[in-house]
Amino acid sequence: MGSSKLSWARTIRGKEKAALRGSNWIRQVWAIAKKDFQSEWRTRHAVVTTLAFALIALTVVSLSVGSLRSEPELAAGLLWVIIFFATIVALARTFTKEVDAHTDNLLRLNAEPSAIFLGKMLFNLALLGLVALMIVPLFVVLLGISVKQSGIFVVAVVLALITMAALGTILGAMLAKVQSRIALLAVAAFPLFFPALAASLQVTAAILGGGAGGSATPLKVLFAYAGASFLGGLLLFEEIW
Amino acid sequence: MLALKCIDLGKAFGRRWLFRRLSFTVPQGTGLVILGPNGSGKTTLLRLMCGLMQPTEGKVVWEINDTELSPKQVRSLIGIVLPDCEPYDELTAEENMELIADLHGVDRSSVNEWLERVGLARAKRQFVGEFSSGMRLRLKLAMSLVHEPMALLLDEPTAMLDEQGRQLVSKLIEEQKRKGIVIIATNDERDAVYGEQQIVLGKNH
Repeated sequence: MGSSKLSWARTIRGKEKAALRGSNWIRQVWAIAKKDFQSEWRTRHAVVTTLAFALIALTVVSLSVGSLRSEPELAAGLLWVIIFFATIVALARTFTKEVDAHTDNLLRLNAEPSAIFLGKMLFNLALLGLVALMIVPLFVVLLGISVKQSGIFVVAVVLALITMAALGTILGAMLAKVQSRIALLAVAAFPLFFPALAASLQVTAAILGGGAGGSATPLKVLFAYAGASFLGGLLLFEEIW
Repeated sequence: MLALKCIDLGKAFGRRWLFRRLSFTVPQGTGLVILGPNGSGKTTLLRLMCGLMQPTEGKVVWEINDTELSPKQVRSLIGIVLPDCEPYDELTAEENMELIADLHGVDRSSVNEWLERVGLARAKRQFVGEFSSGMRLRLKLAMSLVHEPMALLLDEPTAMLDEQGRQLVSKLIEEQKRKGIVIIATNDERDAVYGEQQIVLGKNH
């Protein structure tokens, strides 16, 4: 411990420093994601609030509209409205809890910004995945909908969630120190999420309508937007953190 | 060789200057104590040194082997104890230490050694939310040192500690000075002994 097995004088030298950073980056990403999973497992704050919101919204919708088997556009719209607001509830605490607990500087001082972004994004993606895993089957059952091209539907949902997790992580970091952050997050997120939401809506409506015809273009848009959101987040995070 | 240089450094919030035209150099193997009353800018100066804040005028430079680096560039090589840099309450002391070790790519075996050194070996599986303020400070010290930093920046390092704790801090500071640099912000004049240099804030600004 006292000897310099990781002496700063050695680590600072050009190539060695770069090599250390590169090899340690993945470990940083995993450490941050794991820390968020551990915290969430012990407090269950985000999971409980998000699932509670999603289940209440779903119950109210199913009670008020009954079966939507013959109205795929309306069903698709309601599904993505619920997913959008559940996402906002889930993502609002990503960085807020760090700022409130004064742990944000701990991350800032000890980890690469891009590793913080990816670690947080992975946690958010897992959280949104869990929410979707609960909402979508319940939605299908409660509203009497049949999904025939389930593979394409799953791809669309996954791509939309990747987009929302990436953009939500960036927005969460930007708004973490702002008052009324949840309301602002919803307002700021909507225009950014819109291309992904619109494309997901088209794919979902087509699939709920009985076929996947016309899904190719929105799926391409989703794929491109998910990739752009992820890369943009990775590159821009340092500037806003 | 390592040195910290502050050149004509100034920080203002709005129209109020906390300090201006602050110039000093801290060479390797020495300590600097920043003294001053509450609100004089001691913590702000530490934040400028590690890049958590930007100066209003002047600059902070870390000189390492004749290479000049900004505070942001050397952040991962600094150990810091600040009042707004807290461990995670919902994690245990051991988990907090492992997190920092993982973030710095340090072998986890040093975690237990450090917890033992700061007197938290028995409490290592206790959640930090249940810690007293003194235990929390001991953990923050261990977290700031686990990656063997080149410089240690401490804000009021003895404020919540008993006599045993003060002796521990004293020992850690002397050890760190042999390896690099120590900078201490305090309003306790007893802590002035830790620094070969002292600067006093809050006098002329």
